Amino acid sequence: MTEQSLIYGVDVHSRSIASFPAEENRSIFIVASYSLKENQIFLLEADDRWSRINGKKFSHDKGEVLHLSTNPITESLIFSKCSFTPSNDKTISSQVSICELNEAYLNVKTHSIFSCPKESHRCLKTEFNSDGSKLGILTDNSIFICDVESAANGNTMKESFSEKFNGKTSSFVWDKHSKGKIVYVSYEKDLAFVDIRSDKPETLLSNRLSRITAIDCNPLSPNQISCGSEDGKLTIWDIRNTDKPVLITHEHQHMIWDIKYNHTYPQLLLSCGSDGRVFLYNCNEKENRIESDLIVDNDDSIYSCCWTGNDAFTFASIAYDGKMTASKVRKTLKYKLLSGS
Amino acid sequence: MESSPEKSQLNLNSSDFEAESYVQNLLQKKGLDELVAIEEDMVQNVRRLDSEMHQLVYENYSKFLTATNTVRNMQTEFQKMSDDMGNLTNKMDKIADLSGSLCNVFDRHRQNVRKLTDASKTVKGLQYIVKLPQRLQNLIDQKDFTKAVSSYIAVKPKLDLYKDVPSMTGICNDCHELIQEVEERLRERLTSRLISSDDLIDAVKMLKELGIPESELETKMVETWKEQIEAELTALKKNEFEDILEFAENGCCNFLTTLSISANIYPQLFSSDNNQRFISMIDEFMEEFEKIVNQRFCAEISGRECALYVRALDRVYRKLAACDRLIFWKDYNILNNDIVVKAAAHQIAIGRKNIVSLFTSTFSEVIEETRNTQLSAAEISQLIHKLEQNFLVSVKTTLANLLLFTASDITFSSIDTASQFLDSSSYAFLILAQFINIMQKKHITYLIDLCQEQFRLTERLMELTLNVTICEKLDEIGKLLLKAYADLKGSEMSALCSESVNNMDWLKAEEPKIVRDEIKKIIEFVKEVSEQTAVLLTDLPRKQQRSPDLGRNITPRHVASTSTFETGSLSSALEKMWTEKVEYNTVIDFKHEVVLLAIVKIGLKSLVEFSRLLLFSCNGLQQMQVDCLFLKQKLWQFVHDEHVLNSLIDEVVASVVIQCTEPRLLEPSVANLICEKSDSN
Repeated sequence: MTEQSLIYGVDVHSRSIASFPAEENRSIFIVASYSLKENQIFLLEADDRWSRINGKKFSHDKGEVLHLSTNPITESLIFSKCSFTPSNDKTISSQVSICELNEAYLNVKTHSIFSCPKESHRCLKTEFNSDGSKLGILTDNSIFICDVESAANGNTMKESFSEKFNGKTSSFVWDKHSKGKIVYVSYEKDLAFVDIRSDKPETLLSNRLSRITAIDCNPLSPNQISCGSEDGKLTIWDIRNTDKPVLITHEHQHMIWDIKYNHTYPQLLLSCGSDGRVFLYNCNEKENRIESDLIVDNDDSIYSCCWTGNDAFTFASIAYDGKMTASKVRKTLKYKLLSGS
Repeated sequence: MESSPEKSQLNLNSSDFEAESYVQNLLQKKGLDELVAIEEDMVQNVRRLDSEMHQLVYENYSKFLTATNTVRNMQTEFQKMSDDMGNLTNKMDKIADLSGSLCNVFDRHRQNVRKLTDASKTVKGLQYIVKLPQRLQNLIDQKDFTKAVSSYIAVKPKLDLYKDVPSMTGICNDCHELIQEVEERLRERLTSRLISSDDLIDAVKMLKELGIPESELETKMVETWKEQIEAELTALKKNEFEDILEFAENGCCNFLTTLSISANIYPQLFSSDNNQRFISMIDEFMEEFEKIVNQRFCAEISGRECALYVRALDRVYRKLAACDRLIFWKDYNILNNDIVVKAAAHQIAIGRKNIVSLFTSTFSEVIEETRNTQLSAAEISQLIHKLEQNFLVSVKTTLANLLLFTASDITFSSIDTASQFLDSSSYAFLILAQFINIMQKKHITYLIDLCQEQFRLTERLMELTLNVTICEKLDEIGKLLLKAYADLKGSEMSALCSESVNNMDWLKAEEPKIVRDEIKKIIEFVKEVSEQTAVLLTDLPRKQQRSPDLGRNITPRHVASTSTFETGSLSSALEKMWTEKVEYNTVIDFKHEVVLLAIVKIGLKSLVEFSRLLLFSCNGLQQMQVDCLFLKQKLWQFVHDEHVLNSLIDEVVASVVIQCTEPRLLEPSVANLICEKSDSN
């Protein structure tokens, strides 16, 4: 088993990739097309010997998919996607739909749809919370939370909470420790803390130097968030003390589009950006430093990355030109983490 | 073989040996010669054995003789001893008898003699006692308390015994009163400040002898000392001294003297069993003292009276060292050193703060001047020069001050990045970057040498930061500042691009007639930045002299590419294979065009990203096409790498094509026309 990266070219532009956390045996990824002409969902699988990636194509509804998120609990391949299409009256219609990919029948079935309300232009991001019971939807100026109920004929969504922001929102993430009550939303240059039981959001970080474009929440430490900004800086914050960041690093040369913490070893962090690079970080808080490895150096921007559900050391990223790269954490680092140091 | 009984009979060594049968056997078995040989052999053996036996006997014989002699001697000796013992017993008996008789004789007189001796003793004692008050009075008048106390102590038990006897009562009371007086006087002495240590020790000893419990004395003494030391400490705290030298000499030294006296005397007087209170009291005082001293030294904010400062510090240090020698249960050396180190560090901090504040104020003045006006290159250089001069002057003054700390090891710290100026204009970054660049090239070497000479630090070069290291560090900082400037400007340009793309509803766009204002804003911005950075070095001559000729600038490949935009993703992917990847600089040199290129790259890439998120109608696409052409034409004079510029702008157009519902581009000539029309406006 070698450690080289495996590459698969999806022949269509794409911005979103996700993996299925509940899948324990296979390293599978789902990629959606971002194109006006072709609308496809790809299920990619890295084989056991790590020698190639096999892909299956599924056709799907019209729409350019901006973001994908998978249900972390169920075994069936349920995911949510944000997409938008031009409609006939020269406007953009945008929606979030929960779909199920059925490998046996080779189709993708849409269970329910949430349309973007009039005050917002588009749905930007969607994410299931950690037990799959709620779906968070971020539009360009608000956040909506829907309760997801799974019924016999599929999953249904019902809006339960919404909050509008003063500026343009860019990213959000569920807080992994509060069981679906708290989300973090970044808008303009600020980061807000939204508790769905309370009335208004609380600003955590404000007036930073540049717009925050990606956030993720540490799955193990309850108060740690990492933010990626438009100038390529990755900062890790402890939200109890927002005077200065815990760690800061500037590897990317342009904006960061996605940050993902490893769900088992939160010292590992992935970030991908529009300079076409994916970095794997190993954060050592005690020694106050971050080591970074350059994993992918692509010509075109990389918009999304994710870790697999079955192996804590495998991850993948998708670039705008459709190049999906699956890689593994290098052996020395893997053994160091496994041995607990 | 022969049977065993026969064997034993014939065996020379066995106990059943029979000579007859042996000989018979031999005669039977052996021949004549053999017999003769055996006989000879036997005779030889016999002789040998014989002689051996003799030898053995002779050897042991002498030993036997000695043994017998010894035994005989012992016998005679013991005999003598028993005779002596017998004599002794007799004599002892006799003595016992005699002493018994003597005892009897003396017994009668013993009683008398005892009575007489007792009586004489009593009389002497009484005499002593009777004369005691008078004697005490004399001694008190002579202030010889030692003798008084000792005399009293000697007689005290008797006095107590005879208190009730009427004739003695008076005497007892008198003595008592006198001793009370002595006690009071002694107590006074304890609390008096003018007493010498020896006298104090004596006084305490005498009080002890007078029966006052040690703990009470100890408490009294500790309290007295506590009061005295506290009084000194309060005086220190009040800080009514004129300057720091007086503080050190009068305040600190007094305090330390009192403290040392008490520390010195205590162990001599009181046992160390329950000295916890005393020790903790001393500790508390020392800690408070340290705090006060630190406070006082840190309260010095001006760096001008450094000489006085150092002298005061030195005095305190010496006195504290002396005090420490007397205190053996705790080592106050560390505390002492801490005080000195803190004071020195404070002085260094003051110096540094002065430099920084002077620099900051000069810099703020500079910023003020730049705030609302555009600066020409010459003015920027002037400002930089002003900064330099001020900085040099302030550093030299501070170094002169710090020279007084001859034991100190100064590391020359370079300036921090101007983090407090982040919110102010980007001029800040630029000016600071250039300033550091010049600093590094010209001045550092000079300053370091100056520093080394003055502090005679040439032998200690190992501990200082090297000249080269400082230069490198400054270079690094300069480049970081320049990068920060480029990043800042890049994000400003990105913001402009974002505005230009996001504020319009591209699906409902009309046909393009002119280039949009937002694009012109972008170009203005780049021009501005170019002028700002003109103060930095340029390698290539400016391109304004050449006229922008469209035909020359658009290479044939790019003309062909406009048609391939429509054929879908595969061709554009092929197209991209021929272009190199655009690198965004991580290290920027102090060169004009490098900085500009970095800024433009960041801005244009952001434009690509923003346009990828939108949807365009056909008109929208054409408007973007015109805008991009205009950008290309105008930006080439600022950006020296045409290839990068073209590839980025083509990327924008390609992304827009992909996001377009009906991609149909304008003819290049039409686009050109629109651009020229806008240019003339």
